[in-house]
Amino acid sequence: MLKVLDELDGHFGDEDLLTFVSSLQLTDSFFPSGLYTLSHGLESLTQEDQIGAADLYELIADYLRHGVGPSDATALGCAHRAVEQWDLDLACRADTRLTAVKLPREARETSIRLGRQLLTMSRWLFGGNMLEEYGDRGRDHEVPGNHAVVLGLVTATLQIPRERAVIGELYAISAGMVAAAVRLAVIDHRMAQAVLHRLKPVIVESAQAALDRDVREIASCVPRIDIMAMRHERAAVRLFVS
Amino acid sequence: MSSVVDVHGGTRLYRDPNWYTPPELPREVQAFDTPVALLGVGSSGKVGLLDLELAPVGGATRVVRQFQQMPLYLYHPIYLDPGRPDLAFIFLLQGGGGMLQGDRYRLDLTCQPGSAVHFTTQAASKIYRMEHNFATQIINLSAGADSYVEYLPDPVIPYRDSRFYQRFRVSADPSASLILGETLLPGRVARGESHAYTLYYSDLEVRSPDGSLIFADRIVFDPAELSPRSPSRLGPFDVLSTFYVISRRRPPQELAGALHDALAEQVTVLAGVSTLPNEAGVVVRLLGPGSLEIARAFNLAWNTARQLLIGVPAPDLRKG
Repeated sequence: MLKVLDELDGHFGDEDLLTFVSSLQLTDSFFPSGLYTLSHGLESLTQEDQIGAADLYELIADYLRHGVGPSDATALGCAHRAVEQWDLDLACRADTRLTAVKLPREARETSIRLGRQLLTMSRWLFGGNMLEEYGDRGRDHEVPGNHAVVLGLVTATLQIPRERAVIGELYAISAGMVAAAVRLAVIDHRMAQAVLHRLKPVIVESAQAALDRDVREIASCVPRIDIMAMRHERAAVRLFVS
Repeated sequence: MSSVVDVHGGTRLYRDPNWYTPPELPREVQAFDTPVALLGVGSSGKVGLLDLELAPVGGATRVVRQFQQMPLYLYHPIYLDPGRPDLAFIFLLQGGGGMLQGDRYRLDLTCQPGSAVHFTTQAASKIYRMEHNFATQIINLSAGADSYVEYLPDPVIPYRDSRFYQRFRVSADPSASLILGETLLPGRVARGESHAYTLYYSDLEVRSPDGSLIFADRIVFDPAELSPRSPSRLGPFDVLSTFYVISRRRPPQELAGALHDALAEQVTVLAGVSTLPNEAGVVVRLLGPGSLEIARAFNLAWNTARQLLIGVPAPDLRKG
């Protein structure tokens, strides 16, 4: 296990800046989170000619507000609080509920696969009691190990404030979708950045709405995205895993 | 059919507001929790109750316990499926034709082990225009061991400015098979209404008898804030329908494949089929331009799932 933070603590006084760098590391597309292999239904929408460049901002904004905001981001917030409150059962409940509300199989399985990858990586990289114990519970199949929940545990372990952690996740998902749109030739690189810039207030607003919610509030209401995710499961040609 | 009085410690329990008031109102609903003028919450005619228990008796499923309070009521079950003459069809009826502000309904539908039941309505559920408060409906459906339960009500039609909260809780034995469905229409289409209601909140949770969550689905549309005809939610479509098959009688992948094939030719409807969490069965989501297209796809899904689960096609219910 690498004890990077312990070593750094002696040299740098400003914890806030350290946690900022940690959140950059986790959000970066270079970090092997796998988030950048997902299109969140965008690939199917493109294949079936149901989305154009003009709709991209609305689609992602809508998905943040009604899909990942109330589901993944809310579960992330619960898992983050679980570490702060030394109540790992809270993370387990959020994890179980998050799986139960992901109705498209591919979305559910992808979230668990990426979560388990992140957990293995983070135990080795960052360590910490909570990650160790959660890893054991995952190994014993007591919890599914969804990506958002594991990220909540990781960000709390790295002392990244909850709000920044949730914003980081929503930013990574937005950037991933915009990048997918570029690869699918829906928009060009310049427009992609313009969409991302325009999404910033929605990212913040959706994160703030998700911060302090209970486990029972974890839900998702994006029927059209769900349907496209379900159709992607049967698509013959696939560039993305979701 | 007489009302049985002494259930759950007598009718006093049914008069307790805690019986028919949803616990933990979601914040979206709480926002409308204002007093109702004239006929307030809890007053006569505003609290519809139905507490039913069904069990197999002498070769057919019968109602073995019943309490009802207007505006909710039902007639004798009918047996109209030639392929399954034991299967009880229960038409859940509603006096007054629709829900008003301050209405509180609660339905407890308990299907004992081995029951075979189809619950439906006789017409669409209308949610009338509201100025104060909201209407709520609690449904507690329990499917015992080896039971076969279909809960397929007619669509909900939320009128302009209406507010509706439904809390649907299902307890499903691992050996039971259930088919559940729900359709939301955009309002009174003939009057040009298209999602002009204020709030539609439908919350479904399906659990094992031990209380563990199998899956949950929540539809929350608040057109007064944001139109649900947005790209991630309804897109260009007006009607949303969801269909769930909860069963271990067939592998989920087989059910999903059959439903997918059955719906493949419904070109006016956008359909998605997937397997439910926890290997519980299959979910079908449908988006369509109108109620007819959705009804056709919905019936195809029902017929397909039924043939796979009990080997009998869907009967004609002679509605509408």
